[in-house]
Amino acid sequence: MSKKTLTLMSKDKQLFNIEEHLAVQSVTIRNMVKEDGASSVIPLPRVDSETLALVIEYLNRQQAPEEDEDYVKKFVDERGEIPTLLELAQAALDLDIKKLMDAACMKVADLIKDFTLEEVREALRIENDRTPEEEKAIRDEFQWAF
Amino acid sequence: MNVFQSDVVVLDIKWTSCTSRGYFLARIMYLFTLFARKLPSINPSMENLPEQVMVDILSRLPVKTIIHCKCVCKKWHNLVNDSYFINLHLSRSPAGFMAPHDPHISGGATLKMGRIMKWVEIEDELDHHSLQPALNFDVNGFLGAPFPPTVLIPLGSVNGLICILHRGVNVNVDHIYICNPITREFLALPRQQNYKDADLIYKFGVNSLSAVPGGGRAGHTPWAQKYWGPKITYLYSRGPFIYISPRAQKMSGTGLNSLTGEYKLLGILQMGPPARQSPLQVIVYTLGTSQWRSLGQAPEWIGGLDGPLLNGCFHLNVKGQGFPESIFTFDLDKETFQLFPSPPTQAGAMRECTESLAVFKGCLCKSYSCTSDSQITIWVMKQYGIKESWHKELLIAHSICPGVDGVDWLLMRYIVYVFGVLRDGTILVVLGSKVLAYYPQSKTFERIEFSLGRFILLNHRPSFIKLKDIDSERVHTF
Repeated sequence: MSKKTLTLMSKDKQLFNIEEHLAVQSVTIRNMVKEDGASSVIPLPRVDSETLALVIEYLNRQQAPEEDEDYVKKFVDERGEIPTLLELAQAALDLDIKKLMDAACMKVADLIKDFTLEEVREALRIENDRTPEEEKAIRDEFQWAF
Repeated sequence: MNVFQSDVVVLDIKWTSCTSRGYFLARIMYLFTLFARKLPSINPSMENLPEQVMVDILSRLPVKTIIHCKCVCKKWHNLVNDSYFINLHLSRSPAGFMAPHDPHISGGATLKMGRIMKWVEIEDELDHHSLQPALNFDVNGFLGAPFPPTVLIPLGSVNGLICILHRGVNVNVDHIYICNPITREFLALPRQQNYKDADLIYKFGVNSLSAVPGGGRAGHTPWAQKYWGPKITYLYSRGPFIYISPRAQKMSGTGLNSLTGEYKLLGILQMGPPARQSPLQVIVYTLGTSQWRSLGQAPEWIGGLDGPLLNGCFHLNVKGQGFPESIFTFDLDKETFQLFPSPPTQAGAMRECTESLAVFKGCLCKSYSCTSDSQITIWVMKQYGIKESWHKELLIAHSICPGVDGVDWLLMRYIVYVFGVLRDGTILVVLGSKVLAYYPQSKTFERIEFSLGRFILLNHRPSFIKLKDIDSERVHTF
C-alpha cells in the first residue's frame, strides 16, 4: 500500500510534502482530511516557510513513544532563539499540535522568566504603552513582588 | 519608528530609578546595544502574536514575573486580569506549601502562627537538599496590631485562597478570614451566633470535581493539611472543622475549571459547653450567601482532622474502631457523608498506628506509622473508589529515618504523611517536625533543611483568583 502524501503551502507560497499519517498529528490537518480528503494543497497563511520546514521536521520525527518527550524538549532547545520559538508556537497553535505548542511556550517562558521588564519588552519586541505613573501604580499595588 | 519610541520610554523609567551616575551610563550603553541589535531583525509578525500564545507563555512564568509582566504593556495587563488566564495559570501553578513564620516568636510551645507566610515550591528538584521560600507574604495588613497576643491558625488552602483562624488568647473570640495573598484580597466570614460558646476550631480545604486521579499535574492537586501537638489535638477533639470547596464547572473547549462556581465551607462542631459530650453538628456556609446552614447531626464515625480532596469529596479518617471502613468522605455537591473503601488492614493492629491521608501522584494514599512493626506503610488506591485497587506502595523501616530514635516512635510523637512527589520521583515525607526526602531508587532517606521552624504547613498553589468574583460585598484589600 502506497503512503498518501499531503502538500502544505506556507505564507510565502512554498510547497512542502508530508506523508498523511504523519501530518495528521496536527488536529487541524486531521479534521481537513476527515472532511474532504484534503486532496488539494493545504494553505497555511500565517506560517512562513522557515517555520513550516521546522514543523515538517518535527512531524517527521521517528521517535519511540517513550523517548518522544525528550525529543520534543531537545527539538525546541536546539532552536533557542525567542523569535523562532514564537513563530513555532504560533504555527503549532494554528495547526493544533499540542505537544509542540506546549514545548515552545515552555521554552520561551524558561528563557524570559529571569528577565527584567525592559529585557522582556526587548525580547518580545513589545512597545511600552504605559506611562511611568501607571507603572508606579502597579508597583505600589504589588509592592511585595518588586 | 515604534521601536525607537519604546526605547525612549524605557530610558525614562531607568532615569527615575537609577541611583548612581555610573549605573545610569551603563544603562545607556546597554540600551544602545539593544537598539543596535534590534534593527536588523525586526519582524513585524511578532506584534501580531496570537493572544493565546502570549497567555500560554505568561501562564508558565513564576508568580513574581507575571506581576512584573503587568507592567510590560496594557495588553498584557488585561490578559493577566482575564479569567481565562487565571484558570490556565492555576492549572499550571506549581505545588508548594505555605509556612507561617514570625521572626518575633522563637520556637516555643505555643501555637502561634507567624504573620509572615512563606511559600515554598516543592514540585521541582530539591535545591541543594533544602527547601527555600520563593515568596513571602505579610498578612499583618488585615489582622491589625500583633498585640494583645493572638493565635493564628492556617486552616486550609484552596485554589490559592487561604483560610485563617484568628483567635484572641484572652478573649474567646474567633474570626475566620479567607485571603488571597497574591491579589491581597481578604474577607471576614460572618460570626456564627448560635455556636459562640463553643471552643471553635476550623478546617479549610478545597475540592475539585475534575481532579483526575493519576492524571498528573493537570488540574488541581488536592491539598493535604496537618496539625499536631497536644494542644491542637485537644482543641480538635471538641471543636468544629471547616472546609471550603468550589463547585467546579467544565468550561467548554478548554477543559479547564471555571473557578467562579460555589465555594462552600463545611463546619463540624459541638454545641454547648466543651466539657459535655453532645453530638457533633454539621453546618455549611456558601461564600456569597452570608449565612450558615445547618445539616443536622454528624455521623458517629466522624473523626480525623486531616485528609485531601479528590473527585468532589473530602476524605477523612474514621474515628475509633469497629466500623466497616477506616475512611469516610464528604460529598461537597450532595453535602452527604459516606464510609469509603479503605486499605485491607487488620483493625486490631492499627491501635498502635498513626494514620494519615494524602494524595500520591493523583491517587488517594493512606499512611500508617506503626510501633508494632516499626515501619511506615504507604497504601495507594490505584483506581479511585475500588477497594481491591489498594496497593502497598512503600514500606519504610523506622530504623532508616534519620534523626529519629526508637523512643520517639514508641512515644508516638510523629505523625507521618506524604507531602509531595517531586518531578524526579523523590517523595517528600513529613515526619513530626522534620521534612524528609525519600529516594525510591536507593531506598534512602535524607533530612531536608528547612529553616522555618514552626510547623503548620498548608499545601498551597499560588493563584490570581479574585475573591471579588466570589463574594462581591465583603471583600477588602490589605
